[in-house]
Amino acid sequence: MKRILVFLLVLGAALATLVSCGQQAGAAGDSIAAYDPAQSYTVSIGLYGDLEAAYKEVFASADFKAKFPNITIEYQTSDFGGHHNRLTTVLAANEATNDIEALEVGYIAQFVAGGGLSNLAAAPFNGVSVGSGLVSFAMANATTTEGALVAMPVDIAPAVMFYREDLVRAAGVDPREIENARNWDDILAISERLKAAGQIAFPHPNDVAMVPLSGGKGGWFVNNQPLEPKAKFMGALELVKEIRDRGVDADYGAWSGPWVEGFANGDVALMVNGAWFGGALRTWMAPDITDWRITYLPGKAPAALGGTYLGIPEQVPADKKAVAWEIIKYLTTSENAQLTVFRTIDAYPALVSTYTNPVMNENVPYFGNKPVRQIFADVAQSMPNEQVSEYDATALAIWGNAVTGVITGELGVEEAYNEARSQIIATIQ
Amino acid sequence: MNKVQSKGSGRPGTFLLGLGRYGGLGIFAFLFVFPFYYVFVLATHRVPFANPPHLFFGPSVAENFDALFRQIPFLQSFGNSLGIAVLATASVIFFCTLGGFAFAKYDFKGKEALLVFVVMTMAIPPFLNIIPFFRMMVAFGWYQTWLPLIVPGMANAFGIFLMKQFLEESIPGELMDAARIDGLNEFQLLPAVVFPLAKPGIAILGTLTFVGSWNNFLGALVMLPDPRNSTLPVSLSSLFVRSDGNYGGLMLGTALSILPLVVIFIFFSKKIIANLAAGAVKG
Repeated sequence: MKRILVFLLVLGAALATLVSCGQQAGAAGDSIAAYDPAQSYTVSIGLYGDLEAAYKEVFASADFKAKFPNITIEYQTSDFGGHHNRLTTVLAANEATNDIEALEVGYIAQFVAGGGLSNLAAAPFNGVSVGSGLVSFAMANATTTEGALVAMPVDIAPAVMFYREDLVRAAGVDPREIENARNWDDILAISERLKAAGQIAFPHPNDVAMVPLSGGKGGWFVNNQPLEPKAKFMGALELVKEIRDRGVDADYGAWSGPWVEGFANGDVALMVNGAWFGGALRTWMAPDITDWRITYLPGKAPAALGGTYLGIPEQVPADKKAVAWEIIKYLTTSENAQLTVFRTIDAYPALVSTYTNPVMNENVPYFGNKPVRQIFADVAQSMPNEQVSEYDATALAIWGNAVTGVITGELGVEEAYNEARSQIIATIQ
Repeated sequence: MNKVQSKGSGRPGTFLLGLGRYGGLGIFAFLFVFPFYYVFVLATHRVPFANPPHLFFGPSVAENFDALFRQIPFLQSFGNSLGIAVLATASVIFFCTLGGFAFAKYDFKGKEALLVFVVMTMAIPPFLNIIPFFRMMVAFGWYQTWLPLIVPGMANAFGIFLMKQFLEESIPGELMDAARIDGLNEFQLLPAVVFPLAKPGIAILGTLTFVGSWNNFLGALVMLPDPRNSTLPVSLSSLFVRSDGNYGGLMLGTALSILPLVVIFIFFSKKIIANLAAGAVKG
């Protein structure tokens, strides 16, 4: 037994030594060499979903090639969950990563808590100044309460109401009632009229659960108190409860076959989602339906449901950080890059100057030949600036359980709120 | 006449019993076979989402093949997965059989404590290990190589314990003594006695290891970031979110990726079932 203990102690000491060696090897100095246009660089970028297709278009453009003929890009693309799991692992281990890593806005808070990404607000990046032309709420979402900027927003997902004009008219609802809805009570009343006409309003209460919270990116704490103001969070729970209790949702799980098909076969008439969803409807989910329309959320309430950020891991070698920053600056602040990504995958630009580009004022034939892209711009610019805290990820996870509890009927609204609040306080103390 | 009547009167009961038995087996067979059938059905449609769902083969096989081979280096990824799984399986079989044999047939000081320690390592969820594991692999200089997916698991606790349990039962001490009397030393016992008698156990361990290695997603994703070195599950995951809804290539790739597992199972199934049946009788 004694020998085993000695063996384990020796093994532990050896591992500790190895790990500390790894740390020393990985700890690059803080000084970052300036980007040298005369030098050739290869930059690796970690992406998820369709971003590779969009960025390949950007990097193949004449504008990019003229500005950066010396840069070769390598991609590591995975699915959404896999990408973020890999990123979480390598950043937590403080080890090798790609030179640039994409992350979805929902993961920002996690990396604020866990660290691992360079503070882009600090010199020599000076990201706050570089990002002055980006929509302010997206910058705020990536800024910690201490002022660190963990990533730069590259695309956003301002939320709007999608509705099927033919279905709502068939139910005796004037589309202007949806467009002029002052609050969610108005939409619920319309949903009941749709139900009375044999029509389902929403695919699932979860599809609107985060809308009253402006999308749930930041805003979880006021003066270190979670879920305040109470009325806002109670209102979100009451909304999902009302949708389920009134029977105006189809109970379709997101991205299931019926959920996807519901947008083409007339199962559902209303949906709340970000700008990218319009692209999915138009290109493959319901390309033959000509009756989907877009309007503001009730009362023109602002919300954002998604968005992509680009960060530079701390462990990236100093000489690569400079060129990685050049690439990020190009992707986030160049109109060519922002509009190319928008054209390729309908990811809405974070760069405000693109909102006055003629393409943003064009009528979109699929959505009733109306200039709906301006709605996205309006929503984006009216979003509140919510900074993230290290506990947001915890709050979001606990809140998700509360929402599920209310939808399934296991918890009352007040009970769910109180439980969630207690759990958040217990977890962060 | 009476005999005929009595025979005839027994037939409905026998028939109903048979019907119930085969009906029950049929339902279970359907539950197990249908997911495989459904994967292959979806592999023939460009867009798998449908309500009601696709139940029959579609017309998009060629299109899906084109999408699959255009979007990812399928054959290269397939080769990487196969190479890693084969090497991992062979090494696990070798080292776990050695370890299991030692625990099963030799007495040495600290044996019980060491066995308890080995078994206790099984209680640690693998997900908790991923960050220290990753750091160690980088420190060893094994990042971006196949080694992290093969070497650390070569003598894993589950395999050693499985083979120990199996070898305890299947290799009589008398047989080993007889082999020693015939002049075999301890190392010669392995190829002459241990491995031949351990084949059913090796079949189970080999199948489980191959399937586990083939499906290892997070390990391969983290340790082999270069797409040229990716394994099949990682390569297929890059097709998972598509703004054009074309999941046909992904479904086809998924269908093709399970073929080796089906072949492995068919190859080893007799030995696995024979061993399970033997275990049941012994139990």
